[in-house]
Amino acid sequence: VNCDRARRLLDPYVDGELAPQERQRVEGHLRICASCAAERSRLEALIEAVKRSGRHRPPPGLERQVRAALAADAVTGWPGLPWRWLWLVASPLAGAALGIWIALTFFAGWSEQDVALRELVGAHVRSLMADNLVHVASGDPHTVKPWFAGRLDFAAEVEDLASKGFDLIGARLDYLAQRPVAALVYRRREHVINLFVLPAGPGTEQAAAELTRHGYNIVQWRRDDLAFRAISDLNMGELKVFTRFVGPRRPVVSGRAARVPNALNGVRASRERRGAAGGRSECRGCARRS
Amino acid sequence: MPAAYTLARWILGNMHDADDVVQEAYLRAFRAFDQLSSGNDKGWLLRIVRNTAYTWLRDHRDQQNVIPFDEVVHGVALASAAETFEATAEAQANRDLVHDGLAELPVAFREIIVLRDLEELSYKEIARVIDAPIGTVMSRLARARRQLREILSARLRQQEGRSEL
Repeated sequence: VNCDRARRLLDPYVDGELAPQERQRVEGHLRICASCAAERSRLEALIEAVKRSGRHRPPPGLERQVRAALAADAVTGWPGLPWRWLWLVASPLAGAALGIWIALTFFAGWSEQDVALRELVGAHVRSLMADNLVHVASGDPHTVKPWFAGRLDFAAEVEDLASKGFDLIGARLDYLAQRPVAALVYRRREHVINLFVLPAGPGTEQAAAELTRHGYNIVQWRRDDLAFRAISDLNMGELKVFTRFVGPRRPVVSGRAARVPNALNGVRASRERRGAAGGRSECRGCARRS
Repeated sequence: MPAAYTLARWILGNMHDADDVVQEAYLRAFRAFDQLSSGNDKGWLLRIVRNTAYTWLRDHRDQQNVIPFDEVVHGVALASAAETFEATAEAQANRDLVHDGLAELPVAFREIIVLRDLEELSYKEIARVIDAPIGTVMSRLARARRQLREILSARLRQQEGRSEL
């Protein structure tokens, strides 16, 4: 370390800001260089002088005045709000608003479907209350189907599925999506299945879906210009089997629909194997009863 | 509070303004309390005091004190070692001399001496307060001290000259 470099490092040296290695080098130089050592003393003297005379004491009333201002500010809060603070509050709000807007835009369709599903569950639950399940009680499709004539402006196919293990109980007129709809009622063991049939419209544009709401399994799909909604406390596997038999043509439920025949075979096989108790493992209600 | 006041006084050079600036700085600090992330309360408060003081200068006073600081313009040649030695020795005994000398410094030099020698912040803390790299802190502080010694020795020469007359 020569004098030039030592002089340049003198300020950080005195301020204790040098790395240990550099510090040792400067110290080594100061031991052998009287001129630089004197410069160091002068620097320290200057700093000492500043320390002694540079400080300002705040006037006695200032602290009390500031405390009072802080207290007043804490009470009133809003007046004189600096922009930075306002931004601090405003930016999360703006972010939240943006998020909500995006969510609304993206999920408007979903929420519409949600309303429809709630309506569906409501109709199903009401049908189970107070002897309102069927208006025409018959297991004969040729009795049930004509009953709708004059009550609806469309004709719903009614299938006799007794041989498949789904007994037709009857039908009733119901109301969904702001219009009268056909509600066909089937029963499998103790489980009531409501099959709603209505013309496909703007409110029934959803894709085929299998869902669960409030513990009820729902399968909904479209075929041609009719919309189908099956809802029951029956397990989803058997409900999907049921939907396979509804209508003369195969309903497109979802990508999994292709496997439904296999599922059916599985159910049949297990029923054969386990006899009358078939499907017990899939239904807690049945298990309790037996 | 004394630290905030001292810094405000030295930036503003005016007692009444310093009161107001300190109060406003405390209000700002209080409102922005959530922003306080690191534990460096003093540096953080002094940064607010400094910003408040400069804003105050810009809003309430003419531009005389806040002309853009230029390191080249304000850099000065080193006086002879002998001269400054006497100056600093004398300065220790003469508070007014140092006080006036500090007042004569450009505000950027003054504040860095205040932050280091009076508030005793580290270079790193100062860098955060004045929003500058550490290298700038180091070189500006060295220049500031050199210029203060220049001013002190010049004042001493004046005084001696007058007493001789």
